[in-house]
Amino acid sequence: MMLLDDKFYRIAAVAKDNEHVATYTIELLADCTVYQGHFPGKPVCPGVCNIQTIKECAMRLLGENLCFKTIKQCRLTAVATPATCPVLLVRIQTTPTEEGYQLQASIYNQSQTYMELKGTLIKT
Amino acid sequence: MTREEIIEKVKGTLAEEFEVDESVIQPEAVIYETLQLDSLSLVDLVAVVQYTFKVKIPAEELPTIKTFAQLYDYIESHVA
Amino acid sequence: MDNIQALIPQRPPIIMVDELTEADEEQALCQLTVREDNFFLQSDGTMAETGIIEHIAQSASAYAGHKALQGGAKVPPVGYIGEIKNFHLYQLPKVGDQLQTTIVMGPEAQGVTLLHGETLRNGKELVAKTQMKIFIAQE
Repeated sequence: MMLLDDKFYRIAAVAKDNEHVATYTIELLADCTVYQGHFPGKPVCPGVCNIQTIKECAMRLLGENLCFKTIKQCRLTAVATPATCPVLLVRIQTTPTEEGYQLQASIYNQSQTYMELKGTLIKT
Repeated sequence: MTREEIIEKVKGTLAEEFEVDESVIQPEAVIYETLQLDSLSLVDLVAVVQYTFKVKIPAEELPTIKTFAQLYDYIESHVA
Repeated sequence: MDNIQALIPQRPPIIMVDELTEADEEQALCQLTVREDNFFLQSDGTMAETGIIEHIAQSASAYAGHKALQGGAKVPPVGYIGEIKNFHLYQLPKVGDQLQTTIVMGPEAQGVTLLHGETLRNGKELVAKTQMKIFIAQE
């Protein structure tokens, strides 16, 4: 289920390598209510919203409702904010498995990487 | 626990945790380079030692442990 | 125990812990009731797994805040998640469920602390468990 599209982010473009691999260009929406509380007067993207964004991009690519079964590792390598990185790239690489998909993803722009994630998604 | 047992256990657990081949874990090899440790993954090394050997490495001792041989020394002298 | 807003820097709509109910030197227990207005609530009435991760992170933050206040700090420190490791989801909680999360602090190196979090639903069923690395911003 989509929670954050057109709320926390908006998809500006998509470049599909194939049916399982794509790069989404997203715009962070500075007026998202989450910034009222994270943190007052100091808007910083919650790491979990970035994880949710990755999942929603994967759901869009695969056309299915998905949920993380496992996250082997997710490194939050830089702090993202709507002011400092208003446009980000979300790279989604999936491999089908019996239960769902293996996922490798990252969020980055020209200057740095914000998140790298390895996990598995199941169909819900 | 003998030094040989410590070495075997360190190799096995670190190779698995950091996804490297056991053969790269040589006594004089530099831990940080061999395991490609950074500020986020350093704590994984401390955790492996703590959970496997019940040996805590305090922050002030960490910089003195550079090679695997020094790590074995530290564990050998602190393990119960 | 202390008011939750005294322990964590987050504010509505993204407060994901109601109360720190127990804390000692090594571990703490926090709880959250999943309500209709939860930021991570999905259209089918379940809370997204990313909400569980945030709940575990804020439980750890509340624990760190409690320790800091006990140590004499005036305001809780801002903690950031550095890494999520070996997260396993067992089931998604629903509206009305009460979540209880145990946080066990592990080793620390260069300002990064490794911790374990385990979340139960209504006192018995396992919801999720994870390891997490957090670092506390020095302001």
